[in-house]
Amino acid sequence: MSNKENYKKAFSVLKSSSDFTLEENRMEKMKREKINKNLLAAAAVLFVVVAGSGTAYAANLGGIRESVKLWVRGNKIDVSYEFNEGEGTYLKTYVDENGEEVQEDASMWHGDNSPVTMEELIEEEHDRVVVEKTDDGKCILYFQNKVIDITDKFTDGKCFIHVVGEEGEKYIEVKLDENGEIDAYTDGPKPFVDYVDKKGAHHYEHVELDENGNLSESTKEAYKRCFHKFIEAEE
Amino acid sequence: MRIPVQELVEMYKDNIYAAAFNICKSAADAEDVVQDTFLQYYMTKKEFDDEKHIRYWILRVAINKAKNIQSSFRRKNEMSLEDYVETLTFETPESRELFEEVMKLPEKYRVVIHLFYYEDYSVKEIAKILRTTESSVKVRLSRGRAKLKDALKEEWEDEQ
Repeated sequence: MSNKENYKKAFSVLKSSSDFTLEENRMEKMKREKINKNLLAAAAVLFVVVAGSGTAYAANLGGIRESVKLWVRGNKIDVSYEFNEGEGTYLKTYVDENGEEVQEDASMWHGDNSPVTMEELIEEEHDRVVVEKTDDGKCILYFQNKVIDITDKFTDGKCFIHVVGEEGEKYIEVKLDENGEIDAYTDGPKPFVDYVDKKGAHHYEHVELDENGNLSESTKEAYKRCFHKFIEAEE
Repeated sequence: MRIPVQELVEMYKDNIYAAAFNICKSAADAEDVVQDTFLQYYMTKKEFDDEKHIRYWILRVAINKAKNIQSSFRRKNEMSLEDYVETLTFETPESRELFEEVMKLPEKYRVVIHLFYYEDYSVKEIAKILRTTESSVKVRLSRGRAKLKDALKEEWEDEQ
């Protein structure tokens, strides 16, 4: 048997168990709900100036286009987005570091399957953390102007890192799966601390900040009393 | 042309599921992708050249949706991959081994391998679906094959 035949035989076990019936009534109902949400979103954003970028865009019910300057792999470049109202999808276009035009699907949906608005998409893209594994096995994290090699920053398959970008900061947790590949990553404004307890085990905990946005002194003192080492997450 | 959505579901439900599972590694998330993909087809006003064009379009939508789920924390993860594989009935132990080794590949190799070996797409077609270059597809295909050869030994034929 050829590789192709063996592959098909192996993967033919995957069968969808979805018993959803796409009867016309139900599909029409779902379609109406989705269109109504799109119309509301478009009507609410007739003319908006995106803060910080100084770029204005106008929405019309036929479609939305926008060009902004955004971070892509550490560089702030011109990126354009085009919304296809019929499909509820976004197409992202930019020129990469090799001078090649790249088009990517940038579609995003809320939990109820309605597409995000252009404003929400740009805000999300502006704030995006990307973690990628290169072909030579390095793990690279991108956040705004920061490009960080985090290959050696993993302990027990997890990396916790605080990144300060040009226009914001993130506390990021990256997890690897059992094969050393990127499993998931999450980011948020809540900081964490990395400390070692008396038995030498590493712990990571999200902590609250004081009114100045710093770890409170009492928190730091409490950790110092209880544990051998207190390490603030490094940038 | 348009194919009625109910007909399309019967034709390609399992293909979409397999492609989505390849990326998500989660049965629950893959099922979501199947439903979302056909709903999107139902809602689009797009006209297609032929059935091949439709298949290409729904696969591309499914792959993008699966990647979106993968990179967000909407993932469900109700059952681990290992537990799910236990529920599958493979024809031979070699099939199971091939399945498991493919699922261990990095996602960017796995997707290309799947589109090439399961969906019979050419390098050029895969590049269009994934919106990348043909040379990138060739490199990923080559590296994916090398890893499978390394893991499966004689069970995987050498290929150019």
